[in-house]
Amino acid sequence: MARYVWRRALTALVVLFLVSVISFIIVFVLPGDTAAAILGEDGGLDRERYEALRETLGLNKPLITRYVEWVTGVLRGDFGVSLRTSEEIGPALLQRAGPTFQLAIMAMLIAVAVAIPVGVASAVRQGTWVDTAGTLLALSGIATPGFWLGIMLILVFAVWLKWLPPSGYVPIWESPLESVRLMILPAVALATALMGVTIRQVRTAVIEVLGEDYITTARAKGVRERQIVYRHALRNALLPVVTVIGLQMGQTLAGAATIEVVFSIPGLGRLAVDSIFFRDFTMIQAVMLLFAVIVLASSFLTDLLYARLDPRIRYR
Amino acid sequence: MSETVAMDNNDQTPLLELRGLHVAFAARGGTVQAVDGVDLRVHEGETIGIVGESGCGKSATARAILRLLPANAARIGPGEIRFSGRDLLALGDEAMRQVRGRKIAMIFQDPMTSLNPVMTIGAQIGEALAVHEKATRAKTERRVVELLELVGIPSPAKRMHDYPHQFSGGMRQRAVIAMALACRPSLVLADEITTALDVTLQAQILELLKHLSQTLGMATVMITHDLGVVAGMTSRVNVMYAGQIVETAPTDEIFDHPTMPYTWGLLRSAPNLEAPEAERLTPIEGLPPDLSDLPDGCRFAPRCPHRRNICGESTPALAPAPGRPSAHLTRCWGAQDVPGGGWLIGHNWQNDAAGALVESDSEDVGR
Repeated sequence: MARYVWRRALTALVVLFLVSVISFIIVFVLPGDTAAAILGEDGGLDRERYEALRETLGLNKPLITRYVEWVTGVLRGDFGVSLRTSEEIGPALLQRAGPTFQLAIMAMLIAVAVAIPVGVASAVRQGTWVDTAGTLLALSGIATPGFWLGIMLILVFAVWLKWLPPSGYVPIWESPLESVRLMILPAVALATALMGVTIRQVRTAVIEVLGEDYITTARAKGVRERQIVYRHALRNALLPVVTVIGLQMGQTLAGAATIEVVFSIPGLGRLAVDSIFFRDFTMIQAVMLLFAVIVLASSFLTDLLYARLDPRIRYR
Repeated sequence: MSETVAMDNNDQTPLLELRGLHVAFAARGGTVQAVDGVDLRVHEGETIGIVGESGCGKSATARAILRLLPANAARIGPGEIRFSGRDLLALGDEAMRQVRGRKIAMIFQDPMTSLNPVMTIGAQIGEALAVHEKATRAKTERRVVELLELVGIPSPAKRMHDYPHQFSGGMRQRAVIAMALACRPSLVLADEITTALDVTLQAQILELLKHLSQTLGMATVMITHDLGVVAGMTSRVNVMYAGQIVETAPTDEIFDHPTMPYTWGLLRSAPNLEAPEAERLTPIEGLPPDLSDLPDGCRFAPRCPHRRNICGESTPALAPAPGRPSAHLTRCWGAQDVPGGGWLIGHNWQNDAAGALVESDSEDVGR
């Protein structure tokens, strides 16, 4: 087990290095730079001010120098300062991570809570109207853009029915109830894609497992059909599903960006979007790196969970 | 041999009786009649065999008895499955579930796939107890240990916490047997239980099952493609071909006086280590017929080395073999004393040379 963790950690380091290089390069492929963004249309015309600003921001140094400076900083826990707001990036990220985590976790819970029963029902009643309804739900979940659904949810539940607040964010430790109420609509909007994919996965996996010999063995023992599905089939079927949910973490974070914009949630996704608009390179790089860490961590956790669910797997 | 082998006692109600059982599967472009009018009787404590090649309807028959066939793909009936006097086909789902595992248990072919990989052996055996009997955890655990001990698993109290992948093939099959015996069923259906095991284990598992069914007084149906498995285990053998029983007789009788060419073929294809090397194993030429497109007349005729014109024209019935005990039935024109038939009565099948199976090319004996 320890060896396995070490190997995973090493792989993660390589991935992080690649991500840091790519994020660095992508930023320079984009047209325009921070100095131009800060000065705006008019300031950009003033050659002298523009050059002076580039000098202060360190944009004049060669690419390699700037990369090395940045990485050594990051290794010491210093992400530098935002080119846009001049705030320290480390604390800013930490502050923005809270809302995003809450959003992602709630979305995942909603997605899984809906997908497992619906997927199981579709599989058990394969070919009936239940299956058709489940498939329809799954496909519309996958096909509906989260931001559009978010706007529709605001319209229906906040504007017309007035059941839930339309947008905003309160930290969960300040007012738990209000925090959750504010987060329901965005979480639902973010959950649908994950839910759709998971429904299909659960359905396929359960159908496959129900055809296994050990299911017939269980039936021959006289086990109730309900128990067969929930005790024998589901646990085996969840093995591939866990992997998919883990892999969807990256997608979910990407989706969070637009959802956070729609619902005015001050999270990492919105920070990424804002930073990109402002060519806030230091911030963009830090956010990309953080996303990579989150995705790697979630896939590692997925593997650990997998090992717990399947006694045959012992990582070596 | 005299009439003493007549085991079919008509006054006694059999434990299990199949009457004209039919099982059909939905297939592309129509239905496939997997089981076509099978009659079968198993008395209390008796062990019988069903023998035939794969795809001849043996497993479908066994699964039909427990109603384990997928409801959307298989149709059981017409026919009757009477168990302890009740027609199982008339039972509701819940009543049928009560029968499964408690009255009739089944042991499956492949111990590698018939155990749930994410549940411990002990939990799976304990579940068999829990679904039919309300018992405390401690009591169930004691029973599980007893059962594992009964089937010869060493240090059962420790091994019951193992997962299937930690067991060897032979031990898994022992665990599957323990699971089947958990509720002391009166009938066990053993479906090709040795096929997936290597030869040394086969003998051990058969010996174990024989010993257990004798000591526990269970009736057993041995389903196999290997006549060697039923020898010394069963009191009666039913040979199946293309969904029908083609010969049935007490075990000794069928080994000593098989009457029809398919049974001869099965006997010849059982490995015989005492025979000279070249003759040790002679397969039956060809494949069983496609059940959705059966030949006219006798279903074995296209592969039969002794066929005559009548075989392709009309279908033989399962009728008493002339000159044999009344419990010996055969479905073959050559073995029946009817006009146009009977040319195989008294035929010495052991003299048919291996290569001469197909009469038309009897010249190339060499192979």
